[in-house]
Amino acid sequence: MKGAEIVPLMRLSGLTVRYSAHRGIVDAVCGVDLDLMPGRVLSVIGESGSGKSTVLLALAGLLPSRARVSGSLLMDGGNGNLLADPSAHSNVTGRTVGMIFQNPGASLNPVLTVGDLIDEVVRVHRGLSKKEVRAETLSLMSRVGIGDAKSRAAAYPHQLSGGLKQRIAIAAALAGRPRLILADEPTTALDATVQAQILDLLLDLVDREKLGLLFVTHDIGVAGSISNEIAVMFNGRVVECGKAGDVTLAPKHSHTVALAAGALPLDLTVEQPKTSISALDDTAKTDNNREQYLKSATTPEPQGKDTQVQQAAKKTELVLSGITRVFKTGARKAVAADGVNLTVRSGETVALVGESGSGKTTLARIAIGLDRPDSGTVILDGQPLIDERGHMDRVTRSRVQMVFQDPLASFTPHRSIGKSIEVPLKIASDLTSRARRDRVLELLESVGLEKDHANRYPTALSGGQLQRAAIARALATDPDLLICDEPVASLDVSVRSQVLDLLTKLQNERGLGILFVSHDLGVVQWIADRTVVLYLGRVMEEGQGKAMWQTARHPYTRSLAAANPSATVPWRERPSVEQAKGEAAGSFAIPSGCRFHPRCRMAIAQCETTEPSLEQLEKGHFVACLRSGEQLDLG
Amino acid sequence: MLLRFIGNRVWQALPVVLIVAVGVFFLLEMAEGDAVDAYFATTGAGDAGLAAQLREQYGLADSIGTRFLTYMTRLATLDLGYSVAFSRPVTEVIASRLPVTLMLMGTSILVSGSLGVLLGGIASWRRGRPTDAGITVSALVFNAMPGFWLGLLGIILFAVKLRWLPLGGIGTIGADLSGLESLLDTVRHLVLPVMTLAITYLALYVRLMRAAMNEAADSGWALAARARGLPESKIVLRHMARPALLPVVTMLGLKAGAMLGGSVVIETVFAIPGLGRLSYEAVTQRDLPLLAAILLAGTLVVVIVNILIDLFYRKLDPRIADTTG
Repeated sequence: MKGAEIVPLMRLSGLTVRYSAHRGIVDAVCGVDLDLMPGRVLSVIGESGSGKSTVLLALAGLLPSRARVSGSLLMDGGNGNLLADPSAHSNVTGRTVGMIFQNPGASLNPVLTVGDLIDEVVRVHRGLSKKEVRAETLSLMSRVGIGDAKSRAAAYPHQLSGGLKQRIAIAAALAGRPRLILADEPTTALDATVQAQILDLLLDLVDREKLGLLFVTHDIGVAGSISNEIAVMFNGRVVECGKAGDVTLAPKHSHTVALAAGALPLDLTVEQPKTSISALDDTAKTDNNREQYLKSATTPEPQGKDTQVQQAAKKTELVLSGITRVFKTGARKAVAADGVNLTVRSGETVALVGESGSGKTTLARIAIGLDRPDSGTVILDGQPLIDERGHMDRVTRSRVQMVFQDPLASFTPHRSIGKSIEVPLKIASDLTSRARRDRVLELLESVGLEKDHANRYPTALSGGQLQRAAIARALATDPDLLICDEPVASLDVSVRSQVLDLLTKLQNERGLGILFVSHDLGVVQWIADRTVVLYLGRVMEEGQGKAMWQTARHPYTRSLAAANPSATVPWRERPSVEQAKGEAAGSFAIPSGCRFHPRCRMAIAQCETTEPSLEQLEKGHFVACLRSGEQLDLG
Repeated sequence: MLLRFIGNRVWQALPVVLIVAVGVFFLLEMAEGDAVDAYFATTGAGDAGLAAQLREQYGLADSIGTRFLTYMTRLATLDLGYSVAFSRPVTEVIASRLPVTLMLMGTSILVSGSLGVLLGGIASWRRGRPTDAGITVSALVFNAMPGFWLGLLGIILFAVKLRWLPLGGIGTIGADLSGLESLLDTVRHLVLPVMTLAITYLALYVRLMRAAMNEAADSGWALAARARGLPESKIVLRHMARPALLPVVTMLGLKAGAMLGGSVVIETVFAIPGLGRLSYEAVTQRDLPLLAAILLAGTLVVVIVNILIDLFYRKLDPRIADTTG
């Protein structure tokens, strides 16, 4: 890959970044070498704390001054080592190198219009007259695929959708005419269909303008799909580097193997029984020495759930019917749920899938009684979950429990883990304080934590350990149903697999019914017995088992599946017919007829006026689409 | 949309004014003695017949219910009545005193706000260095001093010892100045009271601005601005200072009422004939119509200042306009 005639856009060798901390010197990055040619994509993948973002900041010259940087960085044929010359490096930043960040909302100044924001960058780098500056800004905006640039330029960031904001950030990064784009997880905060559009845009820039793209991500699927080369980072070092196909299909280093194993790609081809997913290497874990526990404890075949036995023992059923929930802010109304029916039974896992704003979290909150629907009923075993006076009795409350997305935010910071788990016991049981403490230890053990963790405070635990503790707390009252709202979305892949295994194991042991809210189709395909796809508060499709995604009929479901990058399918060869257009209108402005029609590639005139109802196609497979009866050939 | 916003705010202010009006009446009612008692206390003599006649004349002999009704109807028709203590229409008395207080309060708000923003910005820029510590500590020391004492210290140092500034009042008596000279004279008289009032509140704004700038320095958009290769001055002014102004401006509005209260003390210390001193006089003379009018005027001033600040805030933060309509 080191071309003799083509000069690399960037050649980084021996990058070491050092911080002096209280405990001594910490090497955040140690001896990293990276080369990038024009018109190529290099991905750097790794888990949190692997040093991948530090490398990116070092390349852009944006590390804080207390960081000690050594190594050599040559850019765009220049022969001076930029790492040794900070002033030369800052001249390069924004000109030769453009950078985009993870959260487009946070990287745009909220008090400037996006036009002014880009103008400023153009003015600083390009010596143009005032009129030319705005013209250049508008042309940059059209270049990143923003239609109607002139009126969009007058908008403030908060008035734009996530995808548009990221496009603006890309336009601002391109304003100094860089040759190299550094991208720090630029699509992680975006919905799947929008992520697909942003990836299209970035690859298009690479192909057409021969830019180099350095793409930092935790997602091996995205990396494998879009890159020419991949570098895998672990503990501040590059542990594997090579052609994208080689790294994803035949990983050599054990950490890459672990990343690939934990990735849970959406499988649209062959149906094969999956075994336990946390077949992880010891090196995959740095913060948790208990992974051995799970290896031995996990049931080998999650599919082999003995639900019949469990249901015979204790059968619980939570039925949500006709749930409608509208949030009003001033004159505006946001529709979070619109006539949704949903049932969760003992021993089964029901997944709620949808993009942001689809209402999945609202439904989860309604299912546990944290929120009440405007109309519709929530019935637990024949009894309303909440009585007419809005009261929910102690016994009912203890039967349905919840696990939240951010484990750190869901624990009171100044209360020890043990005390937090004890709280529901105090409320729901008559145990003595000694019996409660014993129960807490028992619960900790059942989720693979140690007794000692009871005395620690939330910040002293890693993300995976905390989420286990959160599950232990949810199990304290011995519930029948568990509502999990994106329980693994904030966890690294290696830890994620363990938490998913834990949930499956507990389900098998206790016959738990689980309502699993997630936007990650791979995770959903792995864990769900039944999947409900929501769009703007309405059920679009409901299907059973792992095959749901292969047999999906609704264009929205299919666009979600198509937007999911697979490490083995190069992004440019992906069928684009199934991609959804644009972005969700937002729950404030629900389109008429079928609410998906403005984004649907199959929409016909009737879709604009007639709202399709949920029809059963075959047993357990429901679709709300006017064209669901037709024989569809989408390639 | 803007007009509707202002209309809304005025509408929301009405109950505030009403509550204050009712409160004033009953507070004064609870206090011992009325305007006639106060009048006799100052003149030192009088007989029961005269007292009864005066009470009849000023409507003080009526029952509490009747007096409350008269008071409220007068307010509703914006008839502020006749000052017992000054023997002049209340509006006239207030009109002569209000501008001075507005000037004192307005300049104090501006001075403490802008000085706070400036010093807080510098403190954040030199985070953790001696400059930072110096600014933060001295702002706190001034904050801990009572305003009247700080004012007295200022008078002793600048007016008595150094003789740079006048002792008190709002203009040189009998100087008969005009144009620029008159303006300069007023400014010289205002320096000490304004600085005294401003400095007592300075610490609040310094600390707010410092914290907001620290936060802005760590924000994603400041980092993104750096990555776009913008010069440091632009990053600090446009991408850090502008968003950081928001909490300071909010606090300026919240503290406007406290500053009006503070000006009562400051006006007394510096012998400034403003609304603050007037209210002191109105209380000691049990002059209900005057006191009610002063409190109403003060409420209006605070409400108006807050509307102005909200308008400024909407200008600073476009997100507000979109959520409040």
